[in-house]
Amino acid sequence: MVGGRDTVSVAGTGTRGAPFVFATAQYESGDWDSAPLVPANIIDSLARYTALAVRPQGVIVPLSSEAVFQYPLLYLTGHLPVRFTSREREVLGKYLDRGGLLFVDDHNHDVDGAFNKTAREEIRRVAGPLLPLPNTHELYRCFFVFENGPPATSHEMNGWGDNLVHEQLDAVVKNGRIRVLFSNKDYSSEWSFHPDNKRFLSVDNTRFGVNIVVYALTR
Amino acid sequence: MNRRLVERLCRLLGVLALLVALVVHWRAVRAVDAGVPTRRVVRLAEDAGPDSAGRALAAVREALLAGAANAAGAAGAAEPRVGQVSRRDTLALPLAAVPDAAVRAGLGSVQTSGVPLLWLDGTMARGVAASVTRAAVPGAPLDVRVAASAGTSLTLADAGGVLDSVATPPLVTTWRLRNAAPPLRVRQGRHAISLPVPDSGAARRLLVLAEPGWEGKFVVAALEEAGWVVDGTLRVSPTGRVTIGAPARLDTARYVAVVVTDSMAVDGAALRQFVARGGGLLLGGDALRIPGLAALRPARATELRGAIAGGLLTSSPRSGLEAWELAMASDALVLETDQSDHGHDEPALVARRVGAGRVVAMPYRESWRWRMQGSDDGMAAHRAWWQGAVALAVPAVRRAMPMAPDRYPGDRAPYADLVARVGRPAPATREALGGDAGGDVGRGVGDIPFVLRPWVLLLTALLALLAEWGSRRLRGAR
Repeated sequence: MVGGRDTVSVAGTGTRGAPFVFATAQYESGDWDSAPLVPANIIDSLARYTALAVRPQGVIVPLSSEAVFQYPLLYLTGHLPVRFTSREREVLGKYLDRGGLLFVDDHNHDVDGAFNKTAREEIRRVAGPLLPLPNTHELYRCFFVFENGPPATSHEMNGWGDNLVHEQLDAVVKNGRIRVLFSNKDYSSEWSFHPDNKRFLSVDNTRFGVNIVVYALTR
Repeated sequence: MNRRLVERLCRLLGVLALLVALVVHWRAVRAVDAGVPTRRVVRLAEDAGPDSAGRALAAVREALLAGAANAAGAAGAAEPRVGQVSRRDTLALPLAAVPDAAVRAGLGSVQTSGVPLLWLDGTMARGVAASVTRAAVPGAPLDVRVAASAGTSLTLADAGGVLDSVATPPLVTTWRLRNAAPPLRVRQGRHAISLPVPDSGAARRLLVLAEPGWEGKFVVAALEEAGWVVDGTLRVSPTGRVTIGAPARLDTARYVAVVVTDSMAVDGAALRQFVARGGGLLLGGDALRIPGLAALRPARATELRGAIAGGLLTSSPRSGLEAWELAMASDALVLETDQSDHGHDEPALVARRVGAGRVVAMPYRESWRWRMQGSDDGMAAHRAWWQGAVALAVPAVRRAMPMAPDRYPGDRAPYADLVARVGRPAPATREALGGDAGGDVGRGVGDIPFVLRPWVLLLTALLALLAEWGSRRLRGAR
């Protein structure tokens, strides 16, 4: 429906665009809400380290809804098998074609796990095969510098999941830009804590999350 | 018919012809005795290609030298010998192309020295007209439009040879070329035009000034997808910056245009200097509110106009974007309008010239929503919109033209320069010059009508009297 529109006066000279909104993808199958504290933690880090305008609360967006087009960066995670509906595949395909970036994190940290296998298959069907992302990619340098690629997580170091330290992330790259970023490093567990508890960390382990957002906003 | 009547008519015709011949001869003798100059138009050198002008000038020189020698060697002669030129003759030069500056100056000198000079317009300015345009965006094709007369085949060629030909061209023939090796040449019969190939400006870069955010990201993406090389620096934190490409000092040698998408701190003085020196500046949305660019902007953003809900999915998708109401600068020009829901058109692209450059403004904020939230063709439409807007901001490539040291137009307008120096061209047809004016120097053309020439009159009288005599001899024959 097409409605009327209002005209409003804007005082002052500085007018900023809409603030960044951290969006979590909600899909029909699996446990999409398995890391509820990650958005707040990333938002906290963005406010702490950058001058970006950020909305204090994240949003949850159904993957079958065209509302996802309002959020060009989507975070998707889970433990359980993923089977997108045809509508979810259609919307996600358009989303990625138009320039959206989907960040998928395997909450199991297990390459033999159900999430990893099914999510990769779904991504392949929608966007094409995932390929290793070089550790020299600008994603690792666009704000904080990670000389050795993606930072390791405590879950990798403690031998949980597949008992592997994953050296690289995988990605679908189109026109020189990352369309899908896929992690088996279980950042969803690593970053799922209350932001106030960062004061107990010698090095903030959510800094790589800032890089993902900055990359999405600038490339 | 009565035979006697025919015989009398023949006799009358013969006598009349003889009388007219006597009168014509008597007038010619009187003219010579009175010193009236013999008016001859001497055609010098057939036009034989694009360098005919140089040969024509050489022919003028030779003709004048020959005329001087003739006058000195045959003083007192009533008329110059065939093959030579007298100082009273008018020299006619057929020109197949507009001559270069030196030849034009030479012809002008001959004219001003008192030698009657005509030129016959066989230049490319007649018969074929052509233009080559190219949008100032990377990979933009060349559009060649040729207006030519019908009936003769039209050929398009570049430095590498013939590209295409049309046997029966319409009034306007158009070609779209991906590229061409300059110069382009259009030829129809003896008419040829050589055209420079315009530069697309793609060899240089764009500089994007934006805040980190979806607008800057998707504008850069659209421009890169369109083939531009984009540089930029995005300030993420007080000490952290993200660079796109390899940003360098703002200079027209490196950048063709600057695109500003957000309200942010910019170096207004540097941008003013850049535009004044011929750079382009595109201000999108909130960039119209930057105080440092107030002197440059073609319109001032006054009030924010809300987006029409669902407008991005309609046939006028820009109605689904927030936009600024614009108060136009007095010297600004509206390049494109969008229909508003208030029944009047809203400016969508406005421009003004600043120094040697151009500033273009668009009122829309958050145009990225057009790409992400629009219809399936929204991405391509968003890209085309920004591509077109940048093309408007990128100034046309200009080449310095040498200025003539005198009052003539010079090489800026060679044809007008030739007319200014030598005068308007004479009618180019041979009939207008009195018959088969050949390529040899000195083939004179009289100004007596054909039927009054003495040999025509004598032949007429002879034939008429012969007919009368024959008729009388055969009067009794059966």
